[in-house]
Amino acid sequence: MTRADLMDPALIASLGHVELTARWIVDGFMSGLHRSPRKGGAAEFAEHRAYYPGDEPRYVDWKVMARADRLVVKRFEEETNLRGTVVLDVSRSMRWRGSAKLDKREYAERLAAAVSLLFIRQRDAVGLVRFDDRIRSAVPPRAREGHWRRLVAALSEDSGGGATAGPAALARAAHAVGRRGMIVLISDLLLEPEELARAAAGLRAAGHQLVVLHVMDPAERELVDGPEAIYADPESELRVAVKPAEIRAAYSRTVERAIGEWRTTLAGSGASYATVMTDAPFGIPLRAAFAARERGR
Amino acid sequence: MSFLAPFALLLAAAAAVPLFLHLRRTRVTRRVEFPAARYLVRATREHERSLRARSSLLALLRVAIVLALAFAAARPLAPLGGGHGAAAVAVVLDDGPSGAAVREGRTVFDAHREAARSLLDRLGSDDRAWLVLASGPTIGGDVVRLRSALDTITVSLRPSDPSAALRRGARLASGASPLAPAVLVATDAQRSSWHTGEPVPREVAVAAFVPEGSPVPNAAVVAAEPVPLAWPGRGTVRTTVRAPRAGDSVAAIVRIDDRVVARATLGVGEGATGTVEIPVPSAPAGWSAGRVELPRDELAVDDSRWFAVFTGAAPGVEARAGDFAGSAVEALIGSGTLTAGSGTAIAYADLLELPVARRPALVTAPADPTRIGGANRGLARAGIPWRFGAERRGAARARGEGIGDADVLLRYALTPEMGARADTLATVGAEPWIVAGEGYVLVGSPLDTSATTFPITPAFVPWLARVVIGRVAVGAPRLLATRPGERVAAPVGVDAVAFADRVVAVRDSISVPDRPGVYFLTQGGRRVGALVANVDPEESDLSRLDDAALAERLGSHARIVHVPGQAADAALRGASRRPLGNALAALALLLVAAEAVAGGNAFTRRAAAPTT
Repeated sequence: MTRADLMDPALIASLGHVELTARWIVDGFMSGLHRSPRKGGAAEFAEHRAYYPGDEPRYVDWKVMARADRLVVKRFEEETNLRGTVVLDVSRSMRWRGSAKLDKREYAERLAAAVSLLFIRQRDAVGLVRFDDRIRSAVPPRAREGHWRRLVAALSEDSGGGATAGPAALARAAHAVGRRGMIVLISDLLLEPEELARAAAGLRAAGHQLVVLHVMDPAERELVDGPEAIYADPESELRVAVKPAEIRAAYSRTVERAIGEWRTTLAGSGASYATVMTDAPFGIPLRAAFAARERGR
Repeated sequence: MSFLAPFALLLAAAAAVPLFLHLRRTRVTRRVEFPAARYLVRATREHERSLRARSSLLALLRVAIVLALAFAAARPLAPLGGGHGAAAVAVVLDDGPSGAAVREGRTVFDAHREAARSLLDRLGSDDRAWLVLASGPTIGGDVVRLRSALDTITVSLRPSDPSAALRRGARLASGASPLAPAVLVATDAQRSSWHTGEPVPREVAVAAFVPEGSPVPNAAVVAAEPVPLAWPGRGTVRTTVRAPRAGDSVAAIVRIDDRVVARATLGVGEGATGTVEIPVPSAPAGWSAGRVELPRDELAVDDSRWFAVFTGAAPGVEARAGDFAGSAVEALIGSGTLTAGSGTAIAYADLLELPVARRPALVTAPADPTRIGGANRGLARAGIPWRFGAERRGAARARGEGIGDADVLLRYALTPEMGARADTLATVGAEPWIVAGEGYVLVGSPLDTSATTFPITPAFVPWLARVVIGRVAVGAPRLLATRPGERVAAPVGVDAVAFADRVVAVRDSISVPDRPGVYFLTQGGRRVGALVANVDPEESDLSRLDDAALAERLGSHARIVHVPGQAADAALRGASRRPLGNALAALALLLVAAEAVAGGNAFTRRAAAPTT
């Protein structure tokens, strides 16, 4: 059976709403792991939850299996050892779509849902901050499975559409996480690198780990051909008249250089960075986030 | 470099369009929302120099594309490489009589032949060639065959037309595509031979070889005819001679049947020509061949001229066809050409009902239109197989030998009866106006000024004498003046022609031999006329066109040389100039590809336009 995390994101998105598709994605992702990522040692029992492929058999509660004829695994309080917050950019630029079938925000919302679910499956507490030029909504981190539905509901809000104010959102997320935790920023990063670098350095100083998933439409990376036109930034007064055919190659070089600068700048601030194309399967950014989580434990 | 279609160079002006588009300040109104505009701004700033250079390169490429296409359309020819490419060459040889002129021990035609040979020697198996003679024939085949044919070709005394031969050769050469077409004309540039005609296509390289030096001085007999046409025992020969200069005098002798019968010295006046009537005291009865001869000079073919004469009693004529015909007959009687008598009639057709019928007659339409019915009855009674038909009014020019500039105002359509066989002597439009048969000449109009201007033209009296003696009178001669090699219609009543060595039966036409001379026409073995073939008198005028005038007749792109060895190079220059049109079109394609690459259009998938 085809794994949903490796399928065309537009196709996955067309199959159902965010909650459903995020589950498929995470299920597919986890079934692809070689072994359960959990390393939870002995600790105080917290709750049972349904068994999912990838869970280690040693955590299966065989007594419940014998009584109720269903597979459940035991969860322990100590395993909820990471507090994370997904910080989602819902600015106007995220509503843009070029050559891909999903716009950046549609893609990012599904990715945020999947990341949250992945964390919760790993018994981490996850919260959500949505922002544009201000904080649009904030959900504090929790580890219970039911909390995820709250996150999905928050993702479904239609608010947003202003300019991008990333550093403020990151500060709010750090405040919500409280103690040392992990912050996943999902944004098209159409903001000033220096401000973000400063915010990232602040997070690092506070002991937080920052993962930046840079969402890009393929048409933002490779300029598509077309007649001469004025290209206008929807969030600012920036305008430039160009003939795509003439500037295409130079533009590609500039974008690659900018991506390199993001990577260098954020690495210097102790943050992880990955570009996410909106036509790429969700498994790719999910893996990046998961790898960062593993490093942060 | 030259161009086959130079007007296409005007297309080069279109090169201004990309230049203008490059230089003008663009006013773009289309707006596209693009979140990553900051990267576009940065790319523009970072690559400003290279973008500007690329934009200039693109403009340059586009200008070059337009120029390459314009030049390709102009079909340029340029000298490339050594030797010559495969060529289709027509060698036009002017073999007219003037080529027989001797200068410094060799004929002018020998120089023509040398130039032609120098070209044939340069041709190889990839080339095609033809020998096109101004006198008519065309010889094709491989180069070896043409070289040996060239050795056998001599000057022809037939009428020659080098202008027509040039166009024939050009058609042959240009029809052998893709070989480079070329024509070499070897000619003495005789002024009277060359005329302006249909232009030779520019893609045909035309070269002409004209022997160096001025024409040789030439004396010639340009006309010789018996006066009167039939001699009553004796007569004169009206002789016109051309001499090299005005004021010269020329000694001439007259031979009849190879016997010298008269001598004269002719003075030459203005125009270097002089005419005199040389008396001939006696001539044998019947038909004789005569010749006027001058001392031999550098061009021998025109030093003698043939004539034929019939010696016997002048025919008696009675004229009843109006005042003009009556006055003309009186004048001819006074000159001894005719006598007053009743043997031959000149009469209105309606008078044929009267006792003039059944005599040889020159018959005209009646002066009174109401007499047309009687005129047709008269034609029937006289056994003339023609009838007057519908009346035709309105001025029209008559055409016919010896008619001059006669206009016809009123005529009747001449309608043949079943089995009518006649010669048409003159026409008006497409209809016969004067016809001649056995013992009659029929004119479709009355001979007065209300119907035609013919009786008041200078040509009328000589014409009347010629037709009365040559066509109507009993036993009168039939004289046909022609040129060697021509084909002429056989006169009515002639059944054979006697050449020097044989007698040939005649049906509808006679092929005149290539040699000048007198050939007798016979009927039932009896001489009834003569065919007199002489070289065209215009051939005696050896004056030449200068190079500019000759080039005008050959085509403005023609090259003229005067040394035989240069003829081949001049003719084959077209083959060494290879067409660049295809190469330029290929270059334009390459430039288009380069433009596509430089412009970033090549192999670029056009994606959907960004939406917001």
